[in-house]
Amino acid sequence: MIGPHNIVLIPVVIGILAYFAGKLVRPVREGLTLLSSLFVCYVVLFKAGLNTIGIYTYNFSLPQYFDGFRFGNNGFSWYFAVIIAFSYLFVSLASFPLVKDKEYHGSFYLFFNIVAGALLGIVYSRDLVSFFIFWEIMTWSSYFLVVMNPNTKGKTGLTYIVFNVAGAYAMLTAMLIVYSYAGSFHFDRVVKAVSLMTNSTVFFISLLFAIGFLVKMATMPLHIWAPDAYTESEDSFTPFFSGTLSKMGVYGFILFFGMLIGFVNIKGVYEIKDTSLIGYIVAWLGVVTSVFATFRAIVQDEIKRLLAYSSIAQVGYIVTAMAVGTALGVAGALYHALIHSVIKLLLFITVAGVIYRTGKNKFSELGGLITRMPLSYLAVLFGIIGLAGMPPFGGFASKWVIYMSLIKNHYYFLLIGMIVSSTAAFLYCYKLIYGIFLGHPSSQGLMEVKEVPGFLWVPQIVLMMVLMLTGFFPGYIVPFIETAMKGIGFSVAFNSTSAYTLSAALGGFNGFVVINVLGAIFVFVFVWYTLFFPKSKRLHRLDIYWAAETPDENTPLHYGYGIGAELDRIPWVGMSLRTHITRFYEKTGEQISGIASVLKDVVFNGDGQIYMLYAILTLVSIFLLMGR
Amino acid sequence: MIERFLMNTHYIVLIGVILLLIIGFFGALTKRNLIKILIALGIADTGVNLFFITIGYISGKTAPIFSKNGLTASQMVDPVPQALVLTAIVIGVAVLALGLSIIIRVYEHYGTLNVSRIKRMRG
Amino acid sequence: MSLNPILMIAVPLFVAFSIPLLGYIHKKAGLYAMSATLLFNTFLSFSTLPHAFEKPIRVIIAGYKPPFGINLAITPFSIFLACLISLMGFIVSIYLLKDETTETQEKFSMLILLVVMGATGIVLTGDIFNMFVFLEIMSISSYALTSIRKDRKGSEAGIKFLLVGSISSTFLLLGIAIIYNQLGTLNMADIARRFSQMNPKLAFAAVSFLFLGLGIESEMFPLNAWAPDVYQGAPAPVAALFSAVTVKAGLYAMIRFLYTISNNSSFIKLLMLFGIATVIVSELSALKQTDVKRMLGYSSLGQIGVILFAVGIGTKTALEGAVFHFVNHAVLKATMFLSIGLLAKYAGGSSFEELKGIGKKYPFLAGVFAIGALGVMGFPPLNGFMSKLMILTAAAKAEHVVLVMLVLAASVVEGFYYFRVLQVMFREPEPTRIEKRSVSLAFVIPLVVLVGMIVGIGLFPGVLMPYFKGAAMDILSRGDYISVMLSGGGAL
Repeated sequence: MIGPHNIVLIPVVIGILAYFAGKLVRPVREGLTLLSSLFVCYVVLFKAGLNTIGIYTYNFSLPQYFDGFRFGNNGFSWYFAVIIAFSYLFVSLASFPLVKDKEYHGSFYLFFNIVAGALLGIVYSRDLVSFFIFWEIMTWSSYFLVVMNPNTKGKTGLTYIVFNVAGAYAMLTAMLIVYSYAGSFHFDRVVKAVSLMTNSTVFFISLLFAIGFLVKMATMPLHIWAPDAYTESEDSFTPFFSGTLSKMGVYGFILFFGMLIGFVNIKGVYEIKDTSLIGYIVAWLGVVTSVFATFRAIVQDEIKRLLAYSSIAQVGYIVTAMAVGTALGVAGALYHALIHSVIKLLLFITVAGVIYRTGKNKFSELGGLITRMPLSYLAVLFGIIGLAGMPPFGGFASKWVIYMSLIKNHYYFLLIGMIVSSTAAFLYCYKLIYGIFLGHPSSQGLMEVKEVPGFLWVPQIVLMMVLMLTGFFPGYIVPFIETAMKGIGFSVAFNSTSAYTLSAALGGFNGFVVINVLGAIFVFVFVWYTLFFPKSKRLHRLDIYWAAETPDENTPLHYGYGIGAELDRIPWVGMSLRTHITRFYEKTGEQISGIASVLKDVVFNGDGQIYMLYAILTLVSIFLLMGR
Repeated sequence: MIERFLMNTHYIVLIGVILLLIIGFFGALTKRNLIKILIALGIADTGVNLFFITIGYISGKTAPIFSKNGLTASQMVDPVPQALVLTAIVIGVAVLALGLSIIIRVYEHYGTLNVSRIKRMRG
Repeated sequence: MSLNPILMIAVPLFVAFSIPLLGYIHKKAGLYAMSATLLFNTFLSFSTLPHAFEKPIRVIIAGYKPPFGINLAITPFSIFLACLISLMGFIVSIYLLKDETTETQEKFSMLILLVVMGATGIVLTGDIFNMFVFLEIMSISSYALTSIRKDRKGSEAGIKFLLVGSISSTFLLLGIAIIYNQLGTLNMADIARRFSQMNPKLAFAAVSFLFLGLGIESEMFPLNAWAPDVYQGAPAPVAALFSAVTVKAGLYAMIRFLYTISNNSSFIKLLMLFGIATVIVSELSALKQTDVKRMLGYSSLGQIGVILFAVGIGTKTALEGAVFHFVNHAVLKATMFLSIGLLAKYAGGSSFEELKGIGKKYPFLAGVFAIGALGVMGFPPLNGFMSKLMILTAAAKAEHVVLVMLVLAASVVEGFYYFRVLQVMFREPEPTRIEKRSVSLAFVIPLVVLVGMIVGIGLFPGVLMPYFKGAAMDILSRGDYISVMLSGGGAL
């Protein structure tokens, strides 16, 4: 019987099977992965759906005092499981053409399937040990996916693994402290144990848990690994990486702070404006992250790096919303997690297709692809409308809920920061679509590229439709979020009445009206342009004037990509963009390695006589210190 | 007091043991020549062996050999330490022989017996 | 029918000294004899295992009953380690069948047998002087094995090992002499029974001498400075044997002495601090290494530090975790040393420079190394994870949260340097100077078995759990040990 307790095994077993079977027949790997993802989607929707709420103990022949792994399901797990399952499906479709001819074909499918399994394990686990086990499996398997690409710099992989392992170990320390109070790793016992702890212990473990999850969400100042890792990882893994993997931090954070530690518990410790001190700090970290990451995104020239920073910024909103800790805030975080997954899957898959077709990954080398890749253009257009949080797509609704949660708690400065970052996001959104699709193509070769491979159309179209539907009918999402919230013990946040409306404490909107109004405006403008403007004429790429010269092949014609490049000349902004927190970590690393080299040269200095001396000296010091 | 102390052979031997140990460890830690270090360690080992013998020695008693008729166990010294010391001596000899043969190899490779210059592997 | 466990010591000893004669029959006869003997030992130890877990066995030799005479004390902990030692010895010996580390095959196989025999003797004996003798047999054979290749590194490592080892043997002998002086007995159970009758000052001196002597054998910081040299200088299979067998025997002696014989809680606490120091210093030192074998040596010291830490905590869970980590460390380090030995042989050296891109030439061997590395770092679902978790859980339960954080911080450092090696192996371009050779089956089989153990133990840690429990109970139940050994043990 397939259920939450063994769904994990499907991708993992199939991944290992695919690796070896693929040695004989290569395409078997794609086929098995697709089957596995379809099966996982089926199971998540129908077999491990909401009807399977409960706890499964699955004693995997463990040491007795761990009481076995526990798996279970509730609305909250299911919400994330659906995101994972469908991302898995879309990415495995998209990876068909993208990794087909890569030398790391086999290991890609092996580790990709393992990552998918680990993510499912994380959301279905019901005790700290299995949570941590799957968390670690996710860490190492995603590490291999990051470094798999030969273009990845070695430093990227090491930074990724060190930060994530350190975060996981911070989390593990907290788990062990919890265990020493609870005597068990099970979630239900943990909840009881937390209520017995002293305030400072609760504060300490909250801090450690927060570090663990903030690393995964790439929140400042723990985000150093993210831009490089997102940019340099294998193109077909990046959608999953940025869209879904980073959401595990969201899952963990809400799970631990919402359900296990409880916002109520940490609130009692130190409190600022109805939010715990940690929550308040984290909320600010989220906003600061989104502001800085947005500005850094604007100046990038590499497409994936821009999206990477954008991803960090967007997750920053989620961090802020959930750190506020009210029902509305958590609802906004869940909503935005879903929307951001959809958007980032859509954008990264499309960009992967563009890079696959053109072989170029910089805005300055692209441009004018709108005629060659209309579908991808549309996909990016939908994506950026979502990213910018504009109606009529889902991005508006989710951001609206987040804003509302901030206003309701009177966090006006957080709100201002968030609006600054949202507004600045327009710039990189524009750069994204202009740099790739509009303007002049920067080389002749771009005039002959084809639309992205057909396997990418399916995820593109489906994800675009999801974005549209979530915008038109925000009310359809509401029940899911409400179930997810109930799963972690929050009360109702919304009071929507129909599928078209999204309404909560401070008001609501009707998505259907919005889309009708916008549609009417669109139709009006479209008709007006077609009727009253002369027909445009198709010209050769180089058939333009250039200060009384005719341009040749080497003349740069694609200008708009440079948007924002001058940003660092603005006094304050520029300074904050140039001085980067990386330096702090580099210095720390240098210090540690300096200590290490001194230590090894002094202690292990190669002289056999000194080694004998250590023995005698230890004897003497034991006699002196303990021999009284 | 002094007289009684000197009369008791145990104490004299114990002083010898301690002296041997100190000489041995001092030599092992200050001499630079590998062979001398090995000899010094041997001296320390001898000190320990002497200590063992002292433990078993009971003054006025004879060797634990059942050759003479009428000799009972109460008239003999403790035989166990002597057996142990024999073993320990054998072990010491084995270590010494092996050490010297390794030292020959070391000398072939380094051209020196100075222990502070035989540290190519370090850090 | 079951054979007398004394054969686990007698047969290897006999075969070891007849190997030079066997060399006249066939050039490789010695190697096969070694393998066969170790297989016999494995079989015998595993067949004794269930009996000893029912009730500890007391094997009386030559009719002298304890506390007189020499006897074997086969308790759950000791037989469990005997199984581990002989099994690891056997696995390494299969590898050695095709290994051309030295031309002097006979001496080599003889010494290997002696090392395994010495280690088996240490864990089985019930007599403290006998333990010393076995320790010396093991150590002397180890010195010889370290420098068996007669190269520069081996000789240098060998002489350092020998110098420090001599200090260890002097300390041990002194400690034993003091104990004998006070109690007039060498039987471990008898010493344990009457340990409190000793003059406290002399008892303290004896404990500290033995603590340091065994500390050198069990590679405790700062007495472990010789160890990285040995791991780097010795041939790879020998290094595998050292980390899988000799250290384990040293640790056994340490645990047996501190818990059963002296039961000195302040020294047990001291062991915890030494363990933490070992972990931190070794992991930091490993960070800057450029030679993979030396780095593995430091990493091995780090794992030993974790075991010492766990032993020092002293709760039942911690000891279970420690015994578990014994197994995991043996399996993982054997895997890594064996695979890196082969890789170094094909690449011409074990430095980072020489191993660049080797993973693309030899994906199987480098893959085995990678699995071992993941296991050592404690990534689930491999075996290192569960034992580390058990140890840390016990530490947290005993409220050593700061120490837990130190161990975890050291683990982050460990992750960094292991992943750096993996990146050097797998991400650098494929080297052109190294030609692809086929890997002999005698190398593949042990590695496959070891990887199977890594994954198998990782997935089903509960299978071995009763044994860990039994061993931990054995360590903690001092009174049972004394009464069983002095008044008669279980039957075979």
